[in-house]
Order: sequence, then structure tokens, then C-alpha cells
Amino acid sequence: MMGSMKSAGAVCAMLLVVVFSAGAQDAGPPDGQAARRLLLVVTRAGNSTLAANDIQLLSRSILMQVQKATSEVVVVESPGSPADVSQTALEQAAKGAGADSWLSVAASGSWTALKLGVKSFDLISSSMVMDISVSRGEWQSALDLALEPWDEIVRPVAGHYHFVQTVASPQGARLARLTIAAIPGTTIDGLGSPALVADENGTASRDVPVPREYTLHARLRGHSVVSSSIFVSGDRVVKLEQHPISSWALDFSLQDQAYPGVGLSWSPLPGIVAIELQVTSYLVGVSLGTAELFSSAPVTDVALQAGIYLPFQPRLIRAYTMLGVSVRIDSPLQSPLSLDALSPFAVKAMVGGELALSERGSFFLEYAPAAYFTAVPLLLQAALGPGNAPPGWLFTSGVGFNLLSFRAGFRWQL
Amino acid sequence: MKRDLFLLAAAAFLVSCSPVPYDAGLTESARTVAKLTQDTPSPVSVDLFTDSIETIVGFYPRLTTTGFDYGTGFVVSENGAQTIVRAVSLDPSSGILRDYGFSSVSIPNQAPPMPSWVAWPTKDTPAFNAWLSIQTFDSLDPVANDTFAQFEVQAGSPPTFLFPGISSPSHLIQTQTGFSGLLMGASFDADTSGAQDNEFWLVRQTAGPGFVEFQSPASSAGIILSSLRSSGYPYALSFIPPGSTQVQYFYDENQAGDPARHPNASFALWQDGGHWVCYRWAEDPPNSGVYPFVQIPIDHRIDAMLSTGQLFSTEGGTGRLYDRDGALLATFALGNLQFLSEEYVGGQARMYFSQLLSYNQQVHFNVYWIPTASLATLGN
Repeated sequence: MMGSMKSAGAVCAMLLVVVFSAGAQDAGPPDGQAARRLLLVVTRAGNSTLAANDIQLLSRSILMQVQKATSEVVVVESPGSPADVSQTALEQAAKGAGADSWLSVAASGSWTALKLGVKSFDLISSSMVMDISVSRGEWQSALDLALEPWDEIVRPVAGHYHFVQTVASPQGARLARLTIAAIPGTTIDGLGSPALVADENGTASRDVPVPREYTLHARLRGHSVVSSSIFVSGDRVVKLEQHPISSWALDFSLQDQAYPGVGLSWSPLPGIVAIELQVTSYLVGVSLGTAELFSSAPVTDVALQAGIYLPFQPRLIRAYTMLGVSVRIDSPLQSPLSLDALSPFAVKAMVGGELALSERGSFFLEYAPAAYFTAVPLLLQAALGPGNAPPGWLFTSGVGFNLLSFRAGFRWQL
Repeated sequence: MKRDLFLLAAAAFLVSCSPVPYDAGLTESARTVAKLTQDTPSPVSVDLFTDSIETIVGFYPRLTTTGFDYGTGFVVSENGAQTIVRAVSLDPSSGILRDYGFSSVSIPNQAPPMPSWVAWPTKDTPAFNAWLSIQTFDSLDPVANDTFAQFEVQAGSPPTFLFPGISSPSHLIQTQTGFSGLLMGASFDADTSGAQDNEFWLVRQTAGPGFVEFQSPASSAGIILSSLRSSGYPYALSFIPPGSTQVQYFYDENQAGDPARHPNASFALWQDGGHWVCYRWAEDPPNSGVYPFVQIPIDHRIDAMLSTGQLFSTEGGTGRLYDRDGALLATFALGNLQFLSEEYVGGQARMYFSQLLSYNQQVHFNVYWIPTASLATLGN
């Protein structure tokens, strides 16, 4: 035991000298860039005769050589020996340590017959960088660690991990590296200007002031907007779960704050073009601000409408415009169905905005003027009541225009 | 941004309270209106001098030899207890027909749904001095000296109430005017071949075996009571329940050149157990002592005997056209269309309807027509 402690002390002294020498070579990342953060986890396999101190020495040796080989990686040691070294557990441990990658070394055998299982995973690109076995059979003791370059391990690490782009930070603020893993081309808002865009490897990084909570909005054409609130206190990797926009959506709405409607839309170009079948019933309506709370008319509108979203790129708030035609059905609960005699057809235009509330749900509000075609315009006007025509209603021969109509509701992607 | 969106949504909700363009009566009528010819150049605006809550039923404009004159007429309304007929005439300054608070007659309503007024179809020969006449009479539970009034719209302003029953006893249809009975129903036949029309009455005898028919010529001078006579043979119509107090009556006078309408036929309807029943009888064969009568399958209130020999019902806002055998020829929605009368204009028999349109805080009427011969096409 004493011998082991002595050798450990000697190795630490040698490693310290090498680390300082390696640190002297580190001129730091260029402006606007930051080093990758690699979590190093060295564990002992069940059949190993190595002691805990030996594992620690082994870990420091590898750390030292990696740091010596590249200044583009900052090695972060695991605070303890994790019980679970599965890929998922290591990924979580890396995130918890503010690292964007991990290097796992599983040691088995003895100093004279050492075998290492080495793996490294890049959380940003979600790719396995290395999965190799390393053997050392000529060593006598831990002292041999001092001269071990670990080339099989260091070269792949240094070759893969490079500086990532950052932005300037507020004067005096403490910065941390926030790395976003997303589908290549994804635009990420919420981390300052300009917006981040995930590169071809699917990563985007930026040094951000910490500690602070950030709300990210990730958008990619054809995909739902992903919103996520994260707290950043140190270097951290966040992987975004992005899903393609569904071709189908269901919405529930109120027209003119009173009448319920349901719509089913299909999109040949998800997120860009939509075709919707919408049914609005006037059988039961809520009349706020009037003497009677509920109103009812045995009429149901069935509309077929199509339109586009602008811009095509998804945003937290997007505008859209649609045009449609509707038929008005009398007494929809009776058979046979018949078209409304006052105005059987209408043309509707819609200009609206859609606010993404979640990945699949959104709130929408649209201005929806309509032109009601009629063979009996005076009857259509009289049907609005004995008073003056309500605000927004205009009548010409053959057409009644409702220029003050709105619809609000929620839309869910199916 | 979220706050802005919220404010926008709130503003939209505050201003957006648009009603649904729907009215049951108008909607039901719209399909029929689209097939009718609008007679009024534009809707006629009417302003009534009343404080009571009334349901306006119809507008009867003045009839001329070339059609209706919308500068004067009658407005018929109901307030639950009474049917009120008001004479209205044009206020040149406003272009609105007004009643000025006078020239009105109220007829007490009794058990509905019996109509308490009928329109008198007239022909348009100039010699006849075309006019539209409305008779109102309390046929619901008649007693001696019941109100009976005949109103006519003639040239002049305001229109005149001719022969109001109370003030002109000579024109009352009462026991002292030629028959011993109570007027139950009246029917008019526009005789286009003569200078006079014929009016037929169904009378419940006060001292006899039941119901009998009378007839009298009528002209622009009114009903010629001096020519009052029994219609056909004065046999009692024993098939009409003797105690009936609500009976509708129509008479189809023989039309030359129309063999299908031989012989002349009379029709009477009353309610039996809440359902309308209709009987038809004829004068022929003469001298039999018994009228050949038959129940025909009409189970709705009849409002007019048409020049085509067809019977027309508007009960429940639905137009129903029957032939003289009671076969249903056509059904169509009327909604709030009010049947006015059948009139001859330009030698053509037309069915006239008025429709109440309330908008812009004003009561308006539109009047529509369709040739009587085409009435059945409304059911297509």
C-alpha cells in the first residue's frame, strides 16, 4: 500500500510538470471561438487489479496528454466514478458537467497487462468519435505512465474536436459555452444576434453570459418551431428534439367571439401551403354583451379554403393568408340538407397570425371578411335585424359584405 | 410581442360582434321570393302611429287598372286582441307612408287561427273602376250586429273607409238586411265578363235548420244588397255541424270554357278535433232537395279560392295549392310572405304577396306577384 502511494505521488509530480508545460503552450482560443469541453471518465472493469488511486493516475495521465496535444479541447474530469457508464448515462453526466462530449476509458487487467476500452462521443454532432481497445503489456508499474503519450487516444480526440464559434460577451460577464445540437440548417433564436444556425454537423455554439435562463426558439423549414427554456450556469450542451410538421392539423375556434368552428387542414407542403375544410355552426353561440347570453340560428357554414404561410421559414409568430368558398346549410340537424335560401354561397378571405405555443399547438387570430352572395339582398339585410346594419356590413345588389369578422382559436398538428 | 398579440386579440373580440344573417321567416321565404316578380320599385317604407306592440301582417296598396299604386293603402296588424286596419298615405316630405294616427278600424280577435279579414279580388276593366277592397268581419263567433266593415282603396289621399259596418248600417250584413242569419264566410268571384262581381256568403240561420248560402252582386259602389238572393237552392247544408261558429267558405263560380269546373262548387272548412276538414258541394242536380256533398282531402286552412278554380292555403307559413278535388298540387315555403289577394292586372290573374322587411330602424314592405296560372311552379 505504501509503495503504491509513493508511486502515485511520484507520478502526480511528473504529471503536474507536464500539465504546466502543456498549459504554457495553450495560447487560448482565438477571438470569437471557444474550446470544446470533453468529460473524461475512467473506470475500472470488474476483473482489474488496479486500485482506485491507480485509476486516478490513469485518468490524469490521459488528461494530461490530451491537453498537451490540443488546446481546442478542455478536459473536464468526472467528479466521481459513475456507476453507470452507458452511453445515455455518460451523455447526461457530460451535460451535467457542462461538457459537449465525453471520453470513456474502462481499464481492466493490471499494470503489467493493462487493457483499456476507449470510447468518445460528440454530443453536438451526436456521433461516436472513437471506439477502440488499447493494450499495454510492457509496463512494470504506474511509473510508466509518466512517459506514455496515449497516441491511440490523443490523435482521434485532437483530430475531431476543434474550436466552435462564439460571440462577444458583455463587458465583465462570466461566459459559458452553450452548444445546441440540432438538425443542420436549424436557426436558433434567443441567444443574441445574429441567430445561430446549426452547421453541417448539426451543432451551433455560442458563449453566453451566465448564470442566466435562456429561451430558445429553433426553426427549420418543414419542422415545428421548438421552444425551450434552459438555465445555463456553465458550459452546456442542449440537444433539441425537432419533428417534421405534420401534414394534418385540427383546429377549434370561435368566430366573432360567439360561434364554434372546427377545421381539418391538410398540407401538401407542410408549413407552407394549407388546404382546410372548416365547419362553423351557428346552432349555439355565445353572445357576450347582449341581453341574451346564447344565440342560435339553424345555419352551418362549410368552407373549403386554401392559403400560404408567410414567410415560408417557420417563426414563433407567422402570418398566413387564405381564400375560400363556403356553402351555408340550413337546419343541419334535419334531413334532407338544403342550402340557405338567403345566401347559399359566400367567399371568404383570411389574413391571420399564428403564435406557436408548443411544438404542435398554436394560437391563431385571423381577420376573415366574407362576401355573402344572395338573390334577395334586401332580405339578407333585413335578416340582420330591424336596426341599422351592424358595423362592418355593406350591401350591394347581390352581395352582402361582412368586413368586420374575426376568428380566433387553437390549432394542433396531428 | 405576446402582449401586442394579446391586445390585438382583445380588440378584435371587443369590436367583433357580428350577428348571423339569418331570420327564420325571411330565410324560408327567400327561395320563393327569388321566383316572384317584385312589384314595388323599391321597398315601401311605413311609419305607424301606435304605442302598442303590434305584429304587422300585411300591406294592401291601392289597386289601379295598371297595377298597384304604392302611394296609399292599408296596413293590417294584430296585437293579440285585435286585428287593426289602418289607412296609410304618402308623406311627400319623407317619402314614407304614414297613418297619422287616425283612419283605423279594430276588429276583435277571437279564437285563432281563423282569419278575420279577406281581400276582395277585382277585375281591372276601367269601367269597373278598379280598386282593392278588404272586408273584415268577425266570423269567429258571430252574433247579431257583429262588426263588419268593408274598406276600399280608391284614388285620393288619405284612402277612404267605405261602408264601415258600425257607421253605415245599410251595409251591415245582419238579419234585417235580407236574410235571417249570421254571416260566417264570404267568397268573391271576379266576373271578367260583366260589370259586376259576385259575392257569396255562408250564413248560419238564426231560426232555421242550419247553414245556407246567399249571393249578391258587388261593384265599385259596394255590395248591392238589394239584389241579395239565395245562392242555388235554399236547402240547408246539413253536413256542416249546426253549432259551428268557425266556418270558412268559398264559392267557385262556373267559368265558361272550363268544363273541368262544372258544376259550380262551394267549399266549407271547419275544425274537427283540432284538424281542418273540408267539404265540397254543388248546386246540381237542381231540385233534388239534397246537395250532393263530399269530403275532400284538404286538411289545412284555405285562404283563397283562385280564378283557376284551385284552392290556396297559407297556413303555417307554407303555401299549398289544391285542385277542387282536394289533390295537393304544390307546396312551397312562404315564411313571412303574406298573401294579399288575387287580382286581375292587364287582363292577367296574379297572386300578390307582401313581405315585411325591418331594417335601418324602419318598417318596409315589398310586394311581389306571380301569375296565378304559374303558382304551382313555386313548388318546383
